[in-house]
Amino acid sequence: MTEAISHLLEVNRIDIRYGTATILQAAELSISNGGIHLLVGRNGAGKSSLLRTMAGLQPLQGGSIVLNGRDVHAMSSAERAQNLAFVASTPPRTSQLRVGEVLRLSASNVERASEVLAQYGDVAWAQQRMDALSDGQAQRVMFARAVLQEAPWIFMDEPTAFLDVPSRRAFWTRAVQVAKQGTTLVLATHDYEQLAGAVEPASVHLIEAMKVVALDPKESPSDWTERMER
Amino acid sequence: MTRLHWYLGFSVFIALVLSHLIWGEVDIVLFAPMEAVHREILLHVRVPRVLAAVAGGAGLSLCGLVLQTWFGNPLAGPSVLGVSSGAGLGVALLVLLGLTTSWWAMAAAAMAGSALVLILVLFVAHRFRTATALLIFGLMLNYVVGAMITVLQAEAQQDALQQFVFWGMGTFGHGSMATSVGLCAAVIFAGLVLRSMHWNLDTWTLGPLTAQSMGVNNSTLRWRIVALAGLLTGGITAACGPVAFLGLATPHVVRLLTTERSHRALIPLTALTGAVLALAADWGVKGFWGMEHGWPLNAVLSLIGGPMVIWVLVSKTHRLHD
Repeated sequence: MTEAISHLLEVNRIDIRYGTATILQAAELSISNGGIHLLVGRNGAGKSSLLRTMAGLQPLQGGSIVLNGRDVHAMSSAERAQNLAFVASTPPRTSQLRVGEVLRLSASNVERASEVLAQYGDVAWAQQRMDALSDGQAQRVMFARAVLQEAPWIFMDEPTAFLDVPSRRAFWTRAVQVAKQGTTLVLATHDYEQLAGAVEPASVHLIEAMKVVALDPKESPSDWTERMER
Repeated sequence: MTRLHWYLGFSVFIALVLSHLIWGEVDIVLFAPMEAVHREILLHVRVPRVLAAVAGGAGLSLCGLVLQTWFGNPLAGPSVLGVSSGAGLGVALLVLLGLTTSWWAMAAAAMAGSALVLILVLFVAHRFRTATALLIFGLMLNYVVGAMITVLQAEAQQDALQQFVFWGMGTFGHGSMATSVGLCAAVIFAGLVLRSMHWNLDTWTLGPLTAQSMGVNNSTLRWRIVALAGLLTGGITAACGPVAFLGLATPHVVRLLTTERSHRALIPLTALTGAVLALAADWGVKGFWGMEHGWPLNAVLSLIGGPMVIWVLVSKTHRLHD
């Protein structure tokens, strides 16, 4: 088995339902190791549900998600955390932990936590409480925390939704660096038009009509939007 | 939280413990040869009462802390969510139906009652989109369980009813040495288990999805919380009656007194503060100097806890998402 195949994330004919509402039916995709992978689609298409399910955080009603030959949903909590990190679409709003305490939940040491906080935010935030930060600042802390988890795969749901424009640019620059260092990023996002020229995604998948459709990542992001509007 | 704060807290705690052991209807000199009757009073009345107050205060406060963390709601607590009422229903079924008055049976029934109510709350909580809805659900549960207890009271024999009403007033002074020591052991056990869960509880404050992705087994955490909250609320309610407000108010007192927010620090601080508040409230029950008689425990605690809840509601430092 080659290295590339052993680091493949495979979504095998999965069904996702909420009660009687079907979100995805027999959906399939596969993502190879490395780079930035995008899930795009209209509001309510099922991007977030697919992302959470791929990260093993939401049960599925049919099919399987296989990472590195292992069923993600059969992994123990600890094994999953070693392989997959996740950043939710909304940052925590009620946690009263200090930023430094949040980062140390995942960091191997204080110095590493400070180093990553400086990259994603400001070291001066370390003593501030999470509920005193703005949503955008708190989201940047959550990026830093996910990076500190040192999992080879990071899933992010609408990562730039709360960020101001300079922070969005900084986020994409940092995302490219993280991907170059070997981490695979899977992002559900509406913000892909910002990518033009700055980031070349390794894959783009459109979620529509309960299916996943592979798009050409070399096309212009505006072509993806046109595809969505059809 | 500095070491000085800890020393101060422990000093107040030790002072309150000693005050309860020394002063009462008879004053007892502790560190000197004492009369047999004084030794009897100490071992069979005052020490069990102090132990029950310490265990009750610490245990209910820990229960409140962990429920506030789990629900992400500063107004959660065993009495607010109906968990204490569930324990009360367990006791009511035994006492009012005349089945038994054994403390161990009452404790088991109270633990089962509180755990059942908590399981119900946990299963429906995710359906509520706002903190207010969960609190209203807890309020309604309190009403329903209260109504069931009232029906049982209406059907009960006179002596069983009398016994139940007496239990329902709440006091730290009913337990024997064995029940108080058993209660202390249960609270120490629960406190140590909770302390071992501090990383999980801190992680949980970041949201269920994030916690799960970081390696927390949400289902295991949920069942541990049910078991510990059931053990603490059930055991304490069986021994001391339904004790109001400590579970809700103490975590807020701790947050007022310290800037610590990690559970590694909050758990021991909450246990210590709960014990101090319970011992202080018990002076109100026994009666201060110059008082002809004391006040009921729940009246004293409500006088402390009521303003505390009002403070939480108006405080700008807490955000209720509704």
